[in-house]
Amino acid sequence: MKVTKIGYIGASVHRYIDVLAEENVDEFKLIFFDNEVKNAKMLQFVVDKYFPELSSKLSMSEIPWIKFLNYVSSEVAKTPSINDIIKFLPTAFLHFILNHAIETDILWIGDNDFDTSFLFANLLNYFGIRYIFTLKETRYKDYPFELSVLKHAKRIYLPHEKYVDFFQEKYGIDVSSKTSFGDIDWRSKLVKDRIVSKLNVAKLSQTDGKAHVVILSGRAIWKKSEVRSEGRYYYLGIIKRLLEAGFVVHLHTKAIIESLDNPIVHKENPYTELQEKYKNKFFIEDPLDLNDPLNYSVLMRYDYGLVHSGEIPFDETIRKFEEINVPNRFFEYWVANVIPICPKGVLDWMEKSMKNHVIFFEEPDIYEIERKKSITKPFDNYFHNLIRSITEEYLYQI
Amino acid sequence: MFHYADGLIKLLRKCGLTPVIVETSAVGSFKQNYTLLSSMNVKILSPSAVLDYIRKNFKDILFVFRTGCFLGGHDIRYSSGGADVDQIDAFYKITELLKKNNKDVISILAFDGDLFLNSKEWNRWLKKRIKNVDYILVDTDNLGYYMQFYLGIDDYKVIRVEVPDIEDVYVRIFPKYEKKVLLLGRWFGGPSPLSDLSIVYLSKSGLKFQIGIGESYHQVIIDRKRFSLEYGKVAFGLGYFYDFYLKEKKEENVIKLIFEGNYSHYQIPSLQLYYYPLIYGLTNMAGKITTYLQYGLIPVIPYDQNDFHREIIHKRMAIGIDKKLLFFNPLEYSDDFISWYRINIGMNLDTFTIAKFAEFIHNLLVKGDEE
Repeated sequence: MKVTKIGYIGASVHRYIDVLAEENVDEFKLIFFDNEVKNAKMLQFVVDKYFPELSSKLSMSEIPWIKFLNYVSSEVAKTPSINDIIKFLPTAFLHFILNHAIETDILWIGDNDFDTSFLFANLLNYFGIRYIFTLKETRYKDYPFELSVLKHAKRIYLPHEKYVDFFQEKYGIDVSSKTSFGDIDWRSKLVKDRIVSKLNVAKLSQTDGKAHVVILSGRAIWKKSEVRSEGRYYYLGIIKRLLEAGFVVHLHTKAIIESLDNPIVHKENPYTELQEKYKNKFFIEDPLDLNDPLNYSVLMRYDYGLVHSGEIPFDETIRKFEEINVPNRFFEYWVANVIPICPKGVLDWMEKSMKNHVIFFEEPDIYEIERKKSITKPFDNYFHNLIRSITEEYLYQI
Repeated sequence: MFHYADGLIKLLRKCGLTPVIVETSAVGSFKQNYTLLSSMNVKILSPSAVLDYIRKNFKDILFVFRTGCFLGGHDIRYSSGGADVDQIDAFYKITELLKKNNKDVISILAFDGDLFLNSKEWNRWLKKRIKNVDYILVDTDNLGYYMQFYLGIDDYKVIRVEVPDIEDVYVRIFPKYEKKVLLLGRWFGGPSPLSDLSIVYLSKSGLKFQIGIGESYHQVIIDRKRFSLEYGKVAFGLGYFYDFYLKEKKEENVIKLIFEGNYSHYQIPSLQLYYYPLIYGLTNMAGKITTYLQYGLIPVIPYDQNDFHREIIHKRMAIGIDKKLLFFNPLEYSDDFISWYRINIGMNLDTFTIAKFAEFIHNLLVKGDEE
């Protein structure tokens, strides 16, 4: 069968290798938005380098969706309506979309409220095109495009059952009858089995006898009181507590900034001061690009991976989502055999449902965490499960 | 309709020639042409007066010239009143008659993009009438190849006739431009990469301009200046995209298939009245593109196998759209870029003005041949 995904690619692009490896899939067309050219190139690179036998199944096309939305926003209204989108969409663009949307077995749209895929799906609603929708990040506030997708999508794939309650509470609709469960952030089984599992990497703790904690985060901020992310990227507090408990901490981040509201960079900042104070215990490491599976070898050196900063968002729209969220980095730790650890009180659903896979703590206690290390069980969900579910439901459900 | 007829008349007069127009029975379809030429005091012969005129003046006649379409029996003929057949037949008869009495007379037949050769019967008719023509002029190389393939005519020249005089070019450089795309004239439908937000519709402004054709020379001169003032700052002009985005086959294959006669002749969609043959998009030099260039508006056109398109794209006078480009954003182009392209347009006047034809005529007059 032919599967066409339009929308978000996101991090860990090699997840899509499981789509190519799926025996039901003969052809996978990935139509990506123009702000993700880098990720698309990375996917092509990984496929060509590690799985060349699958490359003939993959084709990709860029569509100038973001560029077009920005244009309409600048010329008409900051938040264009779906009527504006349809009215002003170039006919060549529309022709391309409809052509690909119709000439496929499974049309797959996704994934998040921030990536404009909801808006895109609404465009398809207008033309009566049927699609399935994978959904991950959302907020506890009304978003008409999201509601419309929940109503019109042929099937919805949500990370877990609590999302159904979330949407019931948020919109008063029950989507359970057309929902299946699968997390878009699950990692590739093929990459894990064929590449990461074969990397022979010793833990740092085997050399120095210390417990090493890694923090993977796109950004780290030092001003907690910012509005944009509600301090979720504020790691100074938890790092200090981990250090005081005796852990060695490694922070891998692309940028250390004051805040998301004011994203300035200082050469010397509270994180560098902390590094100075805790020499050989706290390390600000280079950013880690896990799009190339070989780079998991860096992550695999650590014992534990911090899933969340523990900072509880004040804003209800974020906090309620955090309660059901499974942060992306959890899956990275799991692929690299790094045991996820997390402060209690933020990720409510994970605390209840994934206690076998994550060590939750009130305060970091090195002896308690080391003791629980042996009882954590491997998490066993792969992107492969999601795509298998999608294709089998297409084949067997009417 | 003969575009920029005033330019041709001016050119001939500059060369010391006296133009005489032969009216045919399809005069009604070209009324504006005749009123424009009358306003320039051009002598117009009625059909009944032609024979007598030739008898009296055959020694003084240097050239017999005709420009325009040949529709080959295509449905579009209903909109032109059969003018193509009448004119070419008249041209043929006059040429034959003159050549019997004056072997030095030179016959020149120019074809615009409305040349359709999908009828064997009409092709035979045309071939008979053009086999002794001294010079055949076409707008594009593709049109020449097309004639070569279907009529076996391989002696032609790419010299454009229905284009503006250099004096009527209004390319101006501004510090800032209006980053929009003007749409002149007809629109044949078919997907394009333009958002409706970017387009300035001339028809919606309620203003009418007589630029390429007009009722009087005086009005044409006024309107050309008026158009320059009104739209001279608009950065781009929208060309035809026809079935560019609909073609699944590569352009090269399309050309080959057309030449092999294996490609449908009726493919250009969404035309208001009649379907145009597919070949039109590849052989035609659209009049609106000439007008955009005349005012320095950068044509936005498909990067296809139309050699006129390729020529102005390669000379950096037009933006060529790749089939993969689904959205043309005029805001992405800087004022400096637009000025640079306008300068290129100004530096390549022979591409879209009558300059090359003027040189051709001049050479015929001086040397007896343009070579």
